[in-house]
Amino acid sequence: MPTHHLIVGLPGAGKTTFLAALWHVVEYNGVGAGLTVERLDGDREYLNEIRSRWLKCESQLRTSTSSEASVTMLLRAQPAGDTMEISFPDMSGESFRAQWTTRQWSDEYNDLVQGATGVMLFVHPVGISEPHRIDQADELVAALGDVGGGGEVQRQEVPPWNPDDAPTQVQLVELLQFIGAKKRVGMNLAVVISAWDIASRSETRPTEWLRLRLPLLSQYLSANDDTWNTTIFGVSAQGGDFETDAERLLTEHIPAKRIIVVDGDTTSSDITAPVRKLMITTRA
Amino acid sequence: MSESEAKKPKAPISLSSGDALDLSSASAITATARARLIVIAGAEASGKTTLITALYESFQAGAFAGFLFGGSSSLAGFEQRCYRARIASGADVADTTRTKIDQPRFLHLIVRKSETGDGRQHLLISDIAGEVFRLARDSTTECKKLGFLVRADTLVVLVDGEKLAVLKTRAEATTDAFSLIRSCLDAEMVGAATNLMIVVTKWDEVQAAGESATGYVDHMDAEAALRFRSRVKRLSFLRIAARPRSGRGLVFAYGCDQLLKEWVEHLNGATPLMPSSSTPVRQIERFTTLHKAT
Repeated sequence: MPTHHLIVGLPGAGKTTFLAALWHVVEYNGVGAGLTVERLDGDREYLNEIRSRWLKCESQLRTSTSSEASVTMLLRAQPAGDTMEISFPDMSGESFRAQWTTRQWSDEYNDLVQGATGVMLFVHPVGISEPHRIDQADELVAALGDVGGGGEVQRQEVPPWNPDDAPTQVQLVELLQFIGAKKRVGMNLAVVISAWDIASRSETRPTEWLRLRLPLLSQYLSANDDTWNTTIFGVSAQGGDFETDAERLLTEHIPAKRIIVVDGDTTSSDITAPVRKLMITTRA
Repeated sequence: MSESEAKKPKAPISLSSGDALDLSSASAITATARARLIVIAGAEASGKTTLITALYESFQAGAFAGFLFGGSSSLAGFEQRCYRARIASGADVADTTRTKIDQPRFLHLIVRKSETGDGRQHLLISDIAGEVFRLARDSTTECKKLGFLVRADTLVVLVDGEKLAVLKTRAEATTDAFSLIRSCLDAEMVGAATNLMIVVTKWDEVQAAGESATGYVDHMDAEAALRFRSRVKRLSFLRIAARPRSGRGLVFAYGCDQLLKEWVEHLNGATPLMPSSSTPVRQIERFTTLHKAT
């Protein structure tokens, strides 16, 4: 019985890089892969193209709405386990941002949501838009010696509210709410914190990182544990920064060993771990 | 169906607007979940919307008042209301967009106790222009038009601390608040089933004005207790500073944690907006009551 999963994330969240590394691991049957591919339906050329860039330590081109691809793989759990067909639509981050700003999605995506049993939600530690308040800035200014704060409030003209300006965590909660509103059963959710080599510099675990950096999303997932059976992973599909670490990464004889996957206290190079999480029977 | 029609791309599917809810949308929530209706009343610029945004902004930083943020059907509505107090707006001074005189709007907030993991609680919090309450204060007929008041689990009457801080305006601020409560009671829009909270906003202004002002607030509370305690289910008093001025020594959303706890925890046993399925008649009555207000 095929299972279908959604890959969700705002622009630049690392969705395509993850898919490139995953395709390499399951197709090449690399080190310690928890899954290998038995059959592929879909755009192999696209997968090979993004893998090629990954192997050469070149950043992925931004997925545009016109280059969105859907891939279905028959995967076998290793060693010699069950097979399961899973499909991933590689949609552009702009498509997801548009769900928040325009409050609509395509009929095709609606079908995908209806048929999905799991979601991989990607977040990237760089470029998170945080809900900074003016009064917080005022406190900082006051702490630096400016007495301030005593004047009358002067109303001023400000540009109208633009939904693009909403904090990242608010947009992500809404994307999950949109999906949750269409489902009557709980879903497996793998939250993938991309570029974990950057995010983990503060030595936190993925769960703690989410709680500190995206607290609204973290609370939402905890408060809705009957809707979202959540596991949080830290994943560096690249293994480092392609700008500064490419030479070191390219010297790795087995490219799959570049990958870093952190699940709680466990660190491995098995990028299939978040996918296997989605394959666990979803609670009704 | 012709071939060209078959190939015609299907229209996008609309999702929830995320805006503040009108009465119809609010009723739709009560049809599927236990929800509490909190009506926040007060004069123009008394801090009604700022209070709502302070609650929401507090969850942006983590669990608040012992509750987790559990979701909202009006995320965009909250965001629009927070905008002028965010750095992203480009404004120099934090401010709140004034609520327009319009149909009643409600912000939806789901919370869940963070430690015990008890069930989620839906709150529908009104955001209604002060002018509407001024009319209700001055006219029983106008007050009776606010049909949603009958369904309020809690009526929160705000008293503007900025006015209480000034000798010349404090008596009028108190009188206006008391007159509104009295009008609601006389019109039988609130009564023995209603939790009434009298909340002094901008508490930092009152404190800054000194003992004379804080003492006056104590006096006001005592007067309110004498007048109203016997006529409502529960009467409570709070002081808050949703967005205190810098340097006043009060934290952002000062007192709002207690307010949220009161809304959720002290309402146990109150009648939910959506009654159990064993009381279908009353369910319809409540739905109708909500719609009468439109």
